Amino acid sequence: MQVVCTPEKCQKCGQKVAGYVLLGNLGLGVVKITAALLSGSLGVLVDGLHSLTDACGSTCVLGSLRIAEQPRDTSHPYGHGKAEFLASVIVYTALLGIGAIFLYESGEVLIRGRDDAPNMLALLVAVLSVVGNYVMCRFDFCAAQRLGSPALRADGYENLTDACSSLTVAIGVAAAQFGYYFADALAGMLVSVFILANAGYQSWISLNQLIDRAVPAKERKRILAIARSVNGVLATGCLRTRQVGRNMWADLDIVVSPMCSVETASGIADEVRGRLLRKTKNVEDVVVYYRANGHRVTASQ
Amino acid sequence: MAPFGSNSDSVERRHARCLRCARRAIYFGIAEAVALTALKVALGSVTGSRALMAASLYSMQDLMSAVAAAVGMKISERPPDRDHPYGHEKVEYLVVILMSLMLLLAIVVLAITSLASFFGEASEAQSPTMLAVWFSLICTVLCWIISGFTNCAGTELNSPSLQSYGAHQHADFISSVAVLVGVLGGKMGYPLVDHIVAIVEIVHVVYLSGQLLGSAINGLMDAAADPRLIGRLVQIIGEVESVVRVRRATARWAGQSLLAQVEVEIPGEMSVLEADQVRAGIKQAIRNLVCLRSEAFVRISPVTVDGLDEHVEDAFITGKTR
Repeated sequence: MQVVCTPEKCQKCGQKVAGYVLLGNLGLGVVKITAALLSGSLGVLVDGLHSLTDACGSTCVLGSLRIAEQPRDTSHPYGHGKAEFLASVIVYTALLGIGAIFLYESGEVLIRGRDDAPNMLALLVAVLSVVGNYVMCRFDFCAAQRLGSPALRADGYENLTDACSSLTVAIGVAAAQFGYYFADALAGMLVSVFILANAGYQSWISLNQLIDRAVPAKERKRILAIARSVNGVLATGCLRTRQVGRNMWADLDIVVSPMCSVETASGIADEVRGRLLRKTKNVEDVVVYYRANGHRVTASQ
Repeated sequence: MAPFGSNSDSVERRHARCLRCARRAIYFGIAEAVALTALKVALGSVTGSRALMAASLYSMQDLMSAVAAAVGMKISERPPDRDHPYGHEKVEYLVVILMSLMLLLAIVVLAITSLASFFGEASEAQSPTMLAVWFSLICTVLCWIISGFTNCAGTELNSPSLQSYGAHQHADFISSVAVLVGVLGGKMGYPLVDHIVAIVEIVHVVYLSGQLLGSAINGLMDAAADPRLIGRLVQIIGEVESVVRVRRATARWAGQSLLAQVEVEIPGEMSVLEADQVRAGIKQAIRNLVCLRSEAFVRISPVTVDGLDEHVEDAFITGKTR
């Protein structure tokens, strides 16, 4: 598929795609739950509730962006970006609980056994859900790639797992038509496991960001390389990075000649900071400290 | 607040003592919660009392928060590493949030069982025996001891998770007192007393854990420390030798430790070697006089004649001028 992409168009799409995905999930959730109640399919019911919780999660995250976008103030000198991580921890922890309840319920039905199959409406809706989620995931990935937004990429993966779970449900319902009545409940269990795995993974990421985990090693190496390219920097020392919302804050130690005056060294540090802010996209601010001795030079790279 | 003091050596010794005390209190709390849970489950399954089973659920939640506090303390003591360059102290805030959620859950369970016994299920509430009185007396004393030690250590060490655990134990103490009063009141013919005490206590605990939750969220949001503390920071740094003025200063709490970020001006003709000494002096002064567990990020700039120069945006709060 060849699409002409202009930066402005992508920017616009990126802002809107989250809203579209939210509406899509909400619609799919309502349709799936209605269909599940009409057809009596446990798998579709679990899947529908999953879509609804996704929509709730997206609402929460979108709401938290409002807070996160507020500028720095005296009581929040590093901005409000961490609100994003807090919101997603809350959302995904709730999702963990919901996933556990689903797992229990489907397991119970599986053990108790049932002797009727959900009707074809369930199959139709499950297939519709696979297609819908796949389309949303393509949108997310496209926007994420053009804009370099990790949040959108995460959203895309979530839609992809949703498509997979709907596929599982569709297979379960189809198998039930041929007399494998347990397949529907089994699909429900599998979807619950999907939910648990996804929620666990996402909340683990956000928890890590909340306790100031460093950015990936690749980005750290890039920052250090840029810093070393500045004239007068003898070596780079400890680099501390942390993610505040979408952007990172950094503290960087550079080593300069011990006989250098404070005036000169400060100029070098300013040059390092300027070059870092120019050459990287996601650095919110970096404070550059200079020192003469190589104390803790190799501590963290 | 932070351990204040003028003599760094005594501050350090005191800190180590408090840490030991806190660890013991938490391990004692874990042992107590295990014993109580086991006892309540055993008694509940023997007598078939639903109230006792609900109470064992409550003890189990106690056990979980004690374990969470212990794990939080352990992780937060780990030194900074490549992936966690600012240390692991913020884990304590997560522990506080976990504890508040569990406490909320426990209160809901408690309220439901309390309401159930209030409306009708009187047959369930057997007439209290002397065994019940002794049992709740022991619980009360244990909770009181643990809450006393953890509250003291939590305040001294400025540890959010310890403070939260202490508040938790204090709530347990009050609720055991309520049970005791209720049992005795029931014996003397005032059956409503324990409900009133329990309701007052629930309101108190919700308030307290809401406060702790708020401070944990502030910590996770990287909110600035108390302006008075930052003011003191600026004053202390200003007194360090060859510092001409403090240009910017801010600080944030990461669990027990204070992460201060300051920018100071020294004469531009000084060498970098001398600047390193100034930096070391500032770090030492902050450790001695503001907070023992602190990390100071000190940016040194040459003295400028006019006001602030443009390059370090308003990341920091403007410090004392001239």
